[in-house]
Amino acid sequence: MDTEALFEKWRRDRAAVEPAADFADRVIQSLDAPQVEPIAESVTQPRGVRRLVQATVCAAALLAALFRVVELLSLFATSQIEN
Amino acid sequence: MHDEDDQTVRQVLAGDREMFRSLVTRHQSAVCATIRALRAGFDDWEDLAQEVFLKAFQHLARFDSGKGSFRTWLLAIARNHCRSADQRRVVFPAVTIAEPADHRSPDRLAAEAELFARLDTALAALPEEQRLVFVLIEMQGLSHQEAADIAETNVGTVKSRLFRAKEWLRESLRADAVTTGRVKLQPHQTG
Repeated sequence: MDTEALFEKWRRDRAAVEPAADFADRVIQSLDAPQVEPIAESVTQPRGVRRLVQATVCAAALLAALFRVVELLSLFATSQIEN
Repeated sequence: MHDEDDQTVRQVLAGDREMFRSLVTRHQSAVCATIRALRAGFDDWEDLAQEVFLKAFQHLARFDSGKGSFRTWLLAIARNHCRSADQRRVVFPAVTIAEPADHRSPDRLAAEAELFARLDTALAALPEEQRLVFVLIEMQGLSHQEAADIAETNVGTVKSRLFRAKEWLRESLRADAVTTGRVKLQPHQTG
């Protein structure tokens, strides 16, 4: 058998591993433990809220920076008009 | 399978816990194979796989079918769980993977088993990020994009890691073939 065929055989062989026959039963049994409950979506998805807060803070910071730039430019404009 | 998984997830979320069994049986082989490959040299892959399914159940509401398949999501959990396990678990002695019964000559079987063991060792020697993309793409059939999502990198990096992983594994096999003279050498292939 050549190296390529051996390599492919090994790859296919290692791609699937069957656990013990009662594996699914054990998983389902472990779900019955009192502490195992699906976590509500609202609790598990704070990322969306966090992103919204981050976006709001960024937008506010951008606005503040823009305001400062306009404020600075207006100083020059005013001094030029006065001269 | 994608739609079937989505429907089953909805049923489980609606309160039908028993439906989770079909998700387990559908994906247990891929999860176990991935964990065993990522945790080469450890014999706790079945325990870890069980914990992965438990985590998946607890966080099932977080699964978003719009972002990818259930299998990809599950394998991402498996990858993260293996990482945590690497940090907290003690080292178990390496185990030899039993080959299924075969009726070929004992010499040939022994030679093949030896080469497979050699490849297992070579896979275990790969850097974690290369091993991960090889396992996800070459063994589990995920796309480059799906593997990139799980590895938290871009497709270009995934392709490069995969290329290096395959080169390393083939080189290991070639080196073994040359030293033992058991297999016929093939022209060097890349990609």
